Amino acid sequence: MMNSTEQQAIFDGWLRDHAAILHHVANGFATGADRHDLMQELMLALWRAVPAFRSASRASTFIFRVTHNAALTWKRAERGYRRRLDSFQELQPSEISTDDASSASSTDSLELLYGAIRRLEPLDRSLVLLQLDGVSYAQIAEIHGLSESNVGVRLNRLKQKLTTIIQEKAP
Amino acid sequence: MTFDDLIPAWNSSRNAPDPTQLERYKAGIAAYLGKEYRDFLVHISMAVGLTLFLAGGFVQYVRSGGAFDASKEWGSLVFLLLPIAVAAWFVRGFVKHRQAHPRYDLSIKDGLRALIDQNRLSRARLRLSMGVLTGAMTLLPLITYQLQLVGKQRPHEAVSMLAVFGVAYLVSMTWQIGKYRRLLPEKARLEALLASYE
Repeated sequence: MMNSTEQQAIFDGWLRDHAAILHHVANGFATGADRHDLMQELMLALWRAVPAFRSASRASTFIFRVTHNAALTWKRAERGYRRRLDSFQELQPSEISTDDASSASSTDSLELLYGAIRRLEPLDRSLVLLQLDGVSYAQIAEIHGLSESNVGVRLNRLKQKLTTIIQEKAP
Repeated sequence: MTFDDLIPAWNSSRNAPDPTQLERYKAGIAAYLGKEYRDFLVHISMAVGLTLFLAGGFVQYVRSGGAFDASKEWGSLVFLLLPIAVAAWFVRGFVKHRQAHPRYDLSIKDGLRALIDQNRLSRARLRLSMGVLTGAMTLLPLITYQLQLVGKQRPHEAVSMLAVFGVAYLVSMTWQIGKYRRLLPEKARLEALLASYE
């Protein structure tokens, strides 16, 4: 049985090394104030999943599965949503700041990409986010319970679909 | 512009979380978990306290020589035993659910199947709870009748008892029906999500 100090240490370590995964998932599934709610949901899911982690498996694969599962099943509960928003009132939305011309261009591209991903069906969003994070087809298949060939077929089709959406949205 | 053209932006430092904001999230989570833990303790204390108060009070009353004739007051006994029977059924359902999905954490697809089953179980629990509550309410006039026959309740006390339990019944049923209705779209959403895997 894991005590809360051990749980906290593992959780902190995961956030230190893999916070980008949560950041990508939150942006890929929600926008604006909803993003804060989802980010908190992802962190809660991760905290609660710590005791179930078996050290034989890779932490990153485990974190991908927990966070993508939480995002796919996430639903905005109005009361909880309001309460959480209140607690995060002081937070500035983490829209990516634009300090100079090159970073502004990078930001626009990112917004374009996230916007296109959010137009996909939930499972497709998850598959694309995993691929962008460099997860192999075999790992994606393991995380989602799909076959590797199915993942490949779906991702090829999704790349074409995303290109179409991007071309429609691009200035 | 294609999807591949945007990959450099994905890999740029702009797509990284803000460490300051992450710390704020962590503080928010700690506060949320603390509140959740306190709320859990309050709910458990209330449920255990109320059960002990009712059942323990009854046992204490009988042990200290209080008059109780089961053949004439069996309605009250049934009323006290109903919540225990429901709790036992809940535990049985939970154990069966865990046995049916021992490795729900293998993949997201397995997790979805377990969630759909959990949704079914939650609805079954609510149906049972509402049924038992309605059964208990229909039992109430009999209980007050029996209590009056053995001289433990006066008519105006029976009226007060029926009024209080009637209000509690309405509040509880409204809450449970609302909860049941919220589970239905959730079931549809989860099933649609699972279907997208096929």
